[in-house]
Amino acid sequence: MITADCDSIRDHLDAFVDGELRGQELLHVSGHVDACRRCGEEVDTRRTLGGMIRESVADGYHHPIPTGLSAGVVARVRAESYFSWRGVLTRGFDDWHWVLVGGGAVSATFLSMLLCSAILLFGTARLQAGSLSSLGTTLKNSSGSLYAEVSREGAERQVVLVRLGDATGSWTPFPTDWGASQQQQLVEALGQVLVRHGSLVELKSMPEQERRYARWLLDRIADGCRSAPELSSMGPLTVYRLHLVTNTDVKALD
Amino acid sequence: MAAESVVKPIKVLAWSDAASADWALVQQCVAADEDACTRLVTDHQRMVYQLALHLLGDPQEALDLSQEVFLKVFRTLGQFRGQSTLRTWIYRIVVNQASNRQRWWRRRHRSQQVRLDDFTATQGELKEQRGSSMPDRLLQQRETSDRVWGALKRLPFDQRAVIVLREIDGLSYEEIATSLDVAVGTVKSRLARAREGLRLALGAQ
Repeated sequence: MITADCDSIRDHLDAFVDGELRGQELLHVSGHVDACRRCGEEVDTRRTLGGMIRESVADGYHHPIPTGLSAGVVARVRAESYFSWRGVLTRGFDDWHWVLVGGGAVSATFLSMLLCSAILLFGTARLQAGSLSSLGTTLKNSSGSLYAEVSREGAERQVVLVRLGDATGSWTPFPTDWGASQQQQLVEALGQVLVRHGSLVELKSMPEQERRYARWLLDRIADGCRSAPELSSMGPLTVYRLHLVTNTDVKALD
Repeated sequence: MAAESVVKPIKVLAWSDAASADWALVQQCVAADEDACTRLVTDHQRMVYQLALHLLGDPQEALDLSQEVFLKVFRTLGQFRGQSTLRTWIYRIVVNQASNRQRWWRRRHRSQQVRLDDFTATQGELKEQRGSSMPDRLLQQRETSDRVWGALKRLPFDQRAVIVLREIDGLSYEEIATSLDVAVGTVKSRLARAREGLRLALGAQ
């Protein structure tokens, strides 16, 4: 006789047969199956079906495993591994590793040379007496006196040495109408433009704006020199060299 | 004088031991250790071949599928994270590969060309045992087996996979769900439909 409980139990019969029920649920279904003939038959049917399947496997459909399966699989895996890109790379490395080591050594030497060259070319130069770096440092530290070789424009042989200033701020003998602070500012600005990290920067390698600025500074220095009474008769002047009293001879470059 | 009973202690293999053994084997295979690869195949070839055979019903196809499965296993072994057992992971590959092959067959109407009768007729073991000397009981068993496998073969692949994993391989619902990458509820419903289908098919014959 089918009871109202049968419908709810039937959904759990498979799990009951397969041993997937636990606790209260198992007790409930088990109790019902014991009491209900129809549900008991359902359980028996499922068990019989499972038994038939297992028997048929054991009976005629249980084929022995073909021999050589593992050997065949491993051989194919080995072949795939051999032809894989990783295998090719590994073999290539094994075959050519001395060449690679030699190439690496040559490359390392080349890179080291490049690095040393770069350091020599772009690295900070050691300060040496008479160098532009020394001039720049001197300008910044305001040590020594700065002189300029000037001449009239177009008359290079009539060069006159004029003193622009010294570390004490005395700017004698000229230009009298040229303020010392203004001179110092101009010279310091020129030093900053021409000297970078202790190295001389050529005008032609400067950006256009900086080059104009440097020319303007030189012109202003020349104008200052021109206003000196001793030089007023010389007309427009050109600055050729800047001299430091510490016997450092530096080209101003143009 | 009463005989003394001697109790020999046996080593109990804990679940964690099996998992770590699996993991060690996997790591060795990933490191291209051929002995480990051979051991992995040897340990699992029976399971793979039998499941392939039960899902496809053809020994030659099952052999081909087994090779494909192991190749797939070795190609993807690096992705094995130990979230399931190695056995369950391989089950999933077998079922997926068998499902793909089944689909490939269907596209070429192969399923209509190969009938169970042809299959059993071509199997030497069955053919030989069907001789006149076969006892009636044995003959009846063979016929029952044929009927069962005929009914199984007519089931949809999803249902066949579930019933094979449950009844033949003895997997729990949880393991079947992991192997098929479906929910446990889906396993239950497929199993119920498969049993109903088998019951009807066998009852109708």
